[in-house]
Amino acid sequence: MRKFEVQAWNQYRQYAPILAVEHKRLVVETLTTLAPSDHPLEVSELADSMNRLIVSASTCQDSCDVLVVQGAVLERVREVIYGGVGASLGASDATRALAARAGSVSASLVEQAHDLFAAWSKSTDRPALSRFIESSDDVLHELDAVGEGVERVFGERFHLKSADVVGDFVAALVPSCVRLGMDRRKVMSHLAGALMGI
Amino acid sequence: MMASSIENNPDAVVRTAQEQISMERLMGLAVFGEKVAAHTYALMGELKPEFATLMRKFASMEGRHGTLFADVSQKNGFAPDRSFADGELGYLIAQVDDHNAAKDFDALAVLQGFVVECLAISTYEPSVEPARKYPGMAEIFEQALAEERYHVDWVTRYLRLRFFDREDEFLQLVERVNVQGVDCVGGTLMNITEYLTSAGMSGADCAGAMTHEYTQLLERVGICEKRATKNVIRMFVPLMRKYRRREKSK
Repeated sequence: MRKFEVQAWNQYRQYAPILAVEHKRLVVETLTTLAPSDHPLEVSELADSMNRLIVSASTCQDSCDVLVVQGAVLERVREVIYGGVGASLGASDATRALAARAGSVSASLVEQAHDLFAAWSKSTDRPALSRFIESSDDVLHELDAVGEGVERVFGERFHLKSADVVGDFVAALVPSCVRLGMDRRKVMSHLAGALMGI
Repeated sequence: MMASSIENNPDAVVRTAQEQISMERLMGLAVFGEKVAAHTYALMGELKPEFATLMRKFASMEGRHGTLFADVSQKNGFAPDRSFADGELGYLIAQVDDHNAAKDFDALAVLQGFVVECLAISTYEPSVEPARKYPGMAEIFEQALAEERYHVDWVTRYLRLRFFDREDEFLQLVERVNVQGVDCVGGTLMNITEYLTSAGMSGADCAGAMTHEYTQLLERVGICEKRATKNVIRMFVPLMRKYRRREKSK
């Protein structure tokens, strides 16, 4: 999660400083203290899929990309994973407390990013769905593979199932997209295409 | 077969072999899938005599769809692929038989009225426009689509009343049926994705449409949007994952 969060923090600072909030910095700082090295990740089954996800998210070129990629998509994924860990009896009290705190920060940033994207949508002629699809396509294509890796590595300990993670993620994302004026069926088609690798 | 089809149909556009195969497999699924649907509704009428008249009507409508699809296929030089359809529908037929043997009307209602009808709707709707290049075909898809929605309307009302204020029990039923039902029907959707593309449609759009339709059905029966969406996506993720890895879904 540290690598994941560090990328988000750096992108917020560069492209969307309004999302580079102190609570997020503290989450990043805590995770960096607990896991200062990438080595455990690099030698795990999660390495390939996580690296592909990070690379796909690194193509953000402007604030709107970051709002979609980090704010709308990846913060939600983080929120769902933190929620799963926070509720898991296999996690220590300290881990559950950290997950609750980090999850709360992610949830807050999701809402902020949603409002900012809504404001951006109103200021442009370009349909929100079109921009959402363009910005999110690469990361969405990598998500399920990461979910599978998370289940293989942490599933037994934290009772995380990738289908549940994806289900919770989509269940939260779709209504949010609809509130932004996107057609639900088209959003579902976009997500289906990403999950199918099309 | 293609040469004689074109001789008999001088307006026929020359097709690629891939288009011919794809259309014959898709139409095979439509023709013989409708006949399975007819059989399922007939069985439902036997299980609940109070609905016998209506179920016979539904069965008759589905049977007519199969006949209309067969006729328009022949007119356009397509021979519906029975062997392909049998391969895809065998698993579904087995489930229908199991639920019928258990006298489980509600399970058949979910399997046929939700799962199978969702597949039909999600593939017929985007088929209408590409089908316009085959004389008479678009109109058949439009008619079948309208009538499938009519069936789904009744099934939704039935389940909503049956499970009024008992959403958890309804979801248990759905999950029980879906363990095999969505695996079967969703697997078919994954297996025909390439054929849909050859026929001018998007497999992803059809898959998205099916998840969207099914989610809406659950909501109409009284399940909240979030729970319905999660329930449906959880079922489809393994199938989509297999497709992504190009593994056979069934």
